Amino acid sequence: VRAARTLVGLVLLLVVGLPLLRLASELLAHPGALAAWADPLALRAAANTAGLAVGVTLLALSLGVPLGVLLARAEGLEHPGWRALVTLPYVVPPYVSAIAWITLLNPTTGWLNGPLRAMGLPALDIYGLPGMIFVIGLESTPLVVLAVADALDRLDASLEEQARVANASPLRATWRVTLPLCAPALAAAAAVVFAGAAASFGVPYLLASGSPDPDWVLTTRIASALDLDPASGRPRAVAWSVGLLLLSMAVPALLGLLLSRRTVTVGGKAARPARLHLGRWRSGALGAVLAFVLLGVGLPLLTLLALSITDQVGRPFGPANWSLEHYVAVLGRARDRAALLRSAGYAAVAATAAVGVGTAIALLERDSQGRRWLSSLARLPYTIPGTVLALGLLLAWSQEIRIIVLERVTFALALADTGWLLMLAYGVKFLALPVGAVAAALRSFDPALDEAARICGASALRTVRRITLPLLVPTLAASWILVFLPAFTEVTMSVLLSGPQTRVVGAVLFELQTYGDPPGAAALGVVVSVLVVGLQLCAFSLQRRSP
Amino acid sequence: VRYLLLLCWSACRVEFGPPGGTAAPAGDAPSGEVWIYTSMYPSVIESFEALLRQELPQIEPRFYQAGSEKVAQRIEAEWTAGGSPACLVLTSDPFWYVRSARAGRLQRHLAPDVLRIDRALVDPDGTWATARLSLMVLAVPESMPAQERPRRFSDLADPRFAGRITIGDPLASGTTYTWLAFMLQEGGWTLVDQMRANGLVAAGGSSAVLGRITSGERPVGALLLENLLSADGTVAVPVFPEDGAVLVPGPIALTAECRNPVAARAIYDLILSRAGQQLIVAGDMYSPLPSLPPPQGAPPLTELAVRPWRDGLLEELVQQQGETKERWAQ
Repeated sequence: VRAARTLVGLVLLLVVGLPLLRLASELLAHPGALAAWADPLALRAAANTAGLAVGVTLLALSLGVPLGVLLARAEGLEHPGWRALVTLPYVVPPYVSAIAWITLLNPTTGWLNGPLRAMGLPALDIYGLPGMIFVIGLESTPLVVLAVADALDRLDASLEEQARVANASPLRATWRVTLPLCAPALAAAAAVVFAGAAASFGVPYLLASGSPDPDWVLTTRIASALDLDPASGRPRAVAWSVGLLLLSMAVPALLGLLLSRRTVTVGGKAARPARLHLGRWRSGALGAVLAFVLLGVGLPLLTLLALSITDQVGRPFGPANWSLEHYVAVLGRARDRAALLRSAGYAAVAATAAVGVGTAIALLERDSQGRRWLSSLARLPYTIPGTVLALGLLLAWSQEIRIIVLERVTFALALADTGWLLMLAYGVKFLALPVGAVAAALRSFDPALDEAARICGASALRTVRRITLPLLVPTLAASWILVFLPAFTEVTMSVLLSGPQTRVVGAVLFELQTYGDPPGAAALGVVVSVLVVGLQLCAFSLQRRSP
Repeated sequence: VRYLLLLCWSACRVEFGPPGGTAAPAGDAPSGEVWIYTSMYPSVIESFEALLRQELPQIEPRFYQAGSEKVAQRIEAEWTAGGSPACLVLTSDPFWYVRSARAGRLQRHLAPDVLRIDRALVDPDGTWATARLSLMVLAVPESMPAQERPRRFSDLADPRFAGRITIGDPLASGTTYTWLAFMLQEGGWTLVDQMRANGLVAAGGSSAVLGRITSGERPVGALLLENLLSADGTVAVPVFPEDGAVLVPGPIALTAECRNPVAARAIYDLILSRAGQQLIVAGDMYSPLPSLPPPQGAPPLTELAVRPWRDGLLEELVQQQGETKERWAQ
């Protein structure tokens, strides 16, 4: 175990620690950069960031917990297709869904605001903090849904039945038994949602900048500092990133304190899910699930589809102004097709590596009370804005490491402008997701299962292979998807790190949007969304068939 | 640890022969790999790749393409880390070149055609030269009646256009920053503050501005003419401001630590040559070579009111850049 811990520690130090150290050295070289926190605008941005993260977490929890309970327990929602459907909002790239919501709800020409005005209602304004909370909250809700549903799947229903036998009402049994047992998974999901919202850039940038008095958050301030002057702005960006890190770490620490009491349940095949009989509320529950899917993915995708078939933006929307030329252009370009394949490959490798390393970390730190430095280190990059992390990776890995033997043979470790750097970036950025999910799943396993295996003479490795990993399969599959999807469509890091031979979807999307082809970007957005929706559905059906 | 070392070893590229990279030996015909960091449009890059294959077939050009600010962020990070593969830089932020030249990051090179370019658009020390010219103009939807359209940039401060105006983000777009600097030259912060009080939305680059104009969200804006020319059939039309359109030079420079300077200089010369500049014009931008025609659908610069770049103006604006951007950010 010690050797494995050392090996994982070394890997983490290389891929996570080194870029972070290079960033920290920027701060040490310019200690004056900490004065950036004295700027009242930075404080306002920090307050907005905290408001955004808290708002998104509350919205995701308030939508995600009931949806998760319904999907795991409600009669009529057992089919895995429902679960796949509810996780779709997470699938649509946030950059793309923000463009769709701007089209629908900008205060001047928003497509939904016209009918609202016609009905004598005030127009809605997507620009500003409430709009950001709404868009990011919808996108983050599936993380909570998956965590709750997964925890309930593994929950031994006999515990709830015992509560009912002891005369507890269904509500009381849920409140006193079910929810406390789901608490570790819920807390892990809340921490990930909070950190993700605090570190998000694309949606806050698009939704703040459309207003004359923008609600900037820390990530947009950091991007401004880098745009202001890349050399002198970098230490300031790092100083603000440290603040962002502290803010994001505060929530898991707080939740850890609240959940310090260890919760245990028997998992695996022994669990028998108890179905919730909804009776006359069944259609209402179905309606709620469908309404969430419509709001989270239906409306944005339909809007995107309409944008992508619009020949000339600004002319009336109708058959006379419809064209498929943007699709022909996007799918006809060999470079863009290659970028799609490349992105899928890089994201798959990054997701596999992140799930592998994340699982190893969670297993190694399963029993270490309070000494979880590996998982703490693995979680850091998720809370760092993509641009800053990409700069850290460039600082750490843009130079070749050359070992020359006999002045004739050179071994050159060169990551810059290779797919490896992008895979490293994606894996490092999203490593927190499998670490959190697997650790939460492990916390809800009964140690008696492991102990039984060890008593029967199995080694630690054999116990993990034969007992723990089979029980973890659904969590591992869900974690793989959680990493693959954002990595497949990642924009901010991809723009900085991709080169001519490593062009990926995120860079192409950014290029189309930036260089005057928003319908082309919408067409690519639709293609990407259809692909990932298909993958998501396939993954769910495979997951259901897993042993 | 063994597995880790094995992983590192398998990720290594193995080279045989004396160490020295891919640089061509001095004196030979230009050949080898040359990295070009640029913010030029992807379609223009494709044309240049074709021209390079034809004229300099032994050179392997590698283009890193992103917005001017992203290019600057990447190259500065690489320089901090110890070196950048970039040999040529072609972006639309002229101020970056002045700062980098001062920091000794650029090397001198005088292409034969530099002598034909306006001297205000060329570094007297030869560390950079203008390779393309973009023009910042006003734009409105074609459906807007002529009498309702703005006629000057300063009209953006007119209450008639309150809540209807947009520009790019001066912090994220070099061309918009240049426009802002010229507005400050004209009316100081009073004019700019009046525009902001008028509900100015400043976000993204020129294409984002075009999107807001065509969708009607913000129907009046300042943007690059090339965005309007390249958007076939767009409902937005240019308005050439009577108080003078803003000309934004897009320089080219050779980095001081370029590993393949012979090939890089050959590309530099080709881009500034008539053949290279014809591709710039075909890409809807103006060429700094006066003998070339304007881009299709655009009037010649001589027929337009254009704000002049007098000698020393660029250096002045560079001095003020930090303060201006800070003040804007506030």
